Amino acid sequence: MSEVFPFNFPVETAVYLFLLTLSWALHFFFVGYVVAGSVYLAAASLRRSNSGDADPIEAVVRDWMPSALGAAITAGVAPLLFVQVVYQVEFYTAGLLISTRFMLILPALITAFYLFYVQKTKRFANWRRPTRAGIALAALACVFFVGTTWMRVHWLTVNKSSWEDLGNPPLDFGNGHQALARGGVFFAAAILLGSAVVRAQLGSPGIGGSPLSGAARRLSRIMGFGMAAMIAALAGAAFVYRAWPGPWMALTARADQPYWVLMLVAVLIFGVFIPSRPEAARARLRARAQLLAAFFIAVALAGIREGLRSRFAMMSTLHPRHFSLAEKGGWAVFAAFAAVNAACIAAAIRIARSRCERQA
Amino acid sequence: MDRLPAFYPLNDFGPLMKGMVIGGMGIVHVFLAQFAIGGGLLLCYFQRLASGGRDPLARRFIDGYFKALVLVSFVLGALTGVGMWLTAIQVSPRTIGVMVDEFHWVWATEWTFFCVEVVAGYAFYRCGVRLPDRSRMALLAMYSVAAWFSLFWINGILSWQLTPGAWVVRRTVWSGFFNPGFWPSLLYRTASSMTIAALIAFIVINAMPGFSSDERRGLIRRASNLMLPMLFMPALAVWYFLTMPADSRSWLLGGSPAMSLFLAGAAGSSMLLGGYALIGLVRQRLYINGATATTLTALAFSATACGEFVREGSRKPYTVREALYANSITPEEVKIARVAGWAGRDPYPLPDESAYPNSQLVLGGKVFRLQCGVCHTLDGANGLTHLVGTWSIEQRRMNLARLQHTKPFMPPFAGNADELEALVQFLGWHGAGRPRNWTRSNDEAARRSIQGWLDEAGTGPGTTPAAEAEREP
Ligand code: HEM
Repeated sequence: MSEVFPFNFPVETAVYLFLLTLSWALHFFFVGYVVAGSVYLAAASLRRSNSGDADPIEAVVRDWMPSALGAAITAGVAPLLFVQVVYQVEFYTAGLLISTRFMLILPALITAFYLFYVQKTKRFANWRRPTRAGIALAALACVFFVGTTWMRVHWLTVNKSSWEDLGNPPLDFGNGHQALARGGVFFAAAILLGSAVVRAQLGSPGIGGSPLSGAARRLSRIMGFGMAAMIAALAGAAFVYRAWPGPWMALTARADQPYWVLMLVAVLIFGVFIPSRPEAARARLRARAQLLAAFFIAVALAGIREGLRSRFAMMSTLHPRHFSLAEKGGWAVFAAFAAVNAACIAAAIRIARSRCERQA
Repeated sequence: MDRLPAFYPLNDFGPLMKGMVIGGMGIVHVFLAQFAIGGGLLLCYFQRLASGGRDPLARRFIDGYFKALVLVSFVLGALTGVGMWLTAIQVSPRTIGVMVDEFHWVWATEWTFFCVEVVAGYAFYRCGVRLPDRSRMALLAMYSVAAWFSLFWINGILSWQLTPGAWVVRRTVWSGFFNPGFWPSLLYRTASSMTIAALIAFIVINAMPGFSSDERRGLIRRASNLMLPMLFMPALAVWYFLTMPADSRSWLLGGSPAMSLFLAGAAGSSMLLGGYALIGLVRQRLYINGATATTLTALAFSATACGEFVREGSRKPYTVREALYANSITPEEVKIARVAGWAGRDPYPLPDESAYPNSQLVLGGKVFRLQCGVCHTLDGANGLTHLVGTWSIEQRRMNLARLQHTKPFMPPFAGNADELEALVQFLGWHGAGRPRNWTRSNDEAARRSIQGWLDEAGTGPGTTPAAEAEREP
């Protein structure tokens, strides 16, 4: 049986898992911005005065939130597809066990979308503080609801022993602690990822205007906090997961090591660049390095997350299914159009940016 | 024995028919998606008019229209698309599972086009106003081509469900994708997308401030050109109709009154709309105000709604023709279930199981959940309590055992005689108001009669004579 890096699985399973992992990483990259952005906007709305114009971070986040949510949703569709390919029965069962909550994802996202648009309007700035705070907090609540619902889905996909009790105990794998640990890692990583993207935006003329040193310094502090929190959350999660031999073995398995290395590289990149003076030379290069590091973190988290789940799923029983699916054909068309469309996306961004930058 | 499929903890939707729930979501999604697709074509057309400063009005209109597209289609359109996945899992996990298994690479390909659509769309939304004509055209063309290709891919999967064609034998992706219904359905949907886009353009033209009435009139005249493909829609509809299996055609032509009514609704609304568009707007160049435009858009929505119900309903008794019945059981599994039972294997408890007086009723509840619940409710829409309410117990036993002959758009009963008797008892108990005590039925003579009816009915679908004739080699 051939075994393929980075997964110790036969090639068919490995390809599907790889696509699930990569697409979830992309999803989480944008989710990071949405989570961090909604927290920032909620915090800003609670401040006494409306500092939208004075605070370039707030201005850029406010401006980009609907598009970022659109990107998170678009990117979420791919893992939604591949999770059905890899873990079909597990995923469907999880969705059915929490059906109402699962379906509430939709109204929550629609509400969040329009609330982000409302926060972009000129009128919003003139509203009273309680109204502004109410809107920003409601959007944040929607985002949190959606994020925690996906976590619940994920948890049910691995806790098969709870299925026949309709999602209630007995559990293989503890509820409260692991949810807290997992949520803590995701949240801290989101703050780090989101602030890295905002930093790149502020350093990019035409997107956020030129970086203001005060804002850039604040961003560095947020990023520093995000990184420290993420490291602490990872350590906390490791401590919690030690109680379960299966997950612990997955976390420390060889197949997971490349992801831990990637995480380390990303943390080092951040470690080198966060303390540097924001207005230092080649700010744009630094911002890009951080952006890359942010993406590494998303990939690392995605890989570790899947490594963990594959422990529970007994992949050897799933492989015959993956094998028969791979036989169906169509992947070459996907590969060809993925390449063509990636080029189209790059072209669209180039067209828009060149003009926006020239004007700025 | 064959490997049995997984059972799922299916939920009851109360008085709502599951088909109506997925249908409702589907209609909204299809309408918004068609707005996005037609909208792309319409914007490219206006951008061509605007190029080189030839028609500054067209350029202004594009920017207003695009805002509507982003606010409505990018939010609600995209999210109802995600909603279709989530709802399909709730309504019929096995069906969506089979579709994913067969076409995951097609869906993955579609996703890459969806990404282009979103990126090009947002790029235009954010920077379009400041861009020169060539760049605007490039972004709009990318957006439009990507949006149309999303239709291309999804159309192959949806039309496969009704007319799988050579796939039934070959079981390859492309034999299923390019099925007999593919082209008529693709062309029909393209024309209908252009119509919807034009109708919404009329609303936007009326709602945008700053245009004089002559300017509005000019823009409306141009937008109505997008409705010209409606001329071909009757021929495309007939072509599509002819690709349908004979029994599906017979549901539409009177075999199922509900389906015939939906077909009449779709055809009537489309004809009214087409008549107004072609005679009033294109020939007589009438002005159309916001209120009329909104009414016509509502008519187009109702045509879409009826059309989608026709598409969904005419597949019965299958969700994937020849491969999977509406209740997510395959023809092969029906044979297994007749011998070894089916619902008895369902490991998931009923939500209020402890309130059931005996295990036979629990089994009956599970039979209902697995076999009937996707198309029927108990007391709500298409409720079984009403449908079987006037039947004697003998009639119930016979009609349910001969299910596919009772109404050929229902699948054959998938279970053994004990499970059928459990269902009959369950329906009786529920119809009697769920009393606390209910005696188990142990009537051996009834069991033998049921077995006789089941054997007589066979395990194949209860096709109509027309379908039988078509099946003859
Ligand atoms: C604001 C919106 C969203 C947030 C904050 C969010 C957050 C998350 C988080 C934290 C996870 C990881 C759960 C875990 O591993 O425990 C996740 C997984 C996932 N999300 Fe999202 N998400 C959002 C929107 C969406 C949307 C709209 C889709 C679908 C189009 C989606 C599809 C998925 C999928 C498929 C998974 C993987 C589930 C699994 O592997 O079991 N997400 N999301």
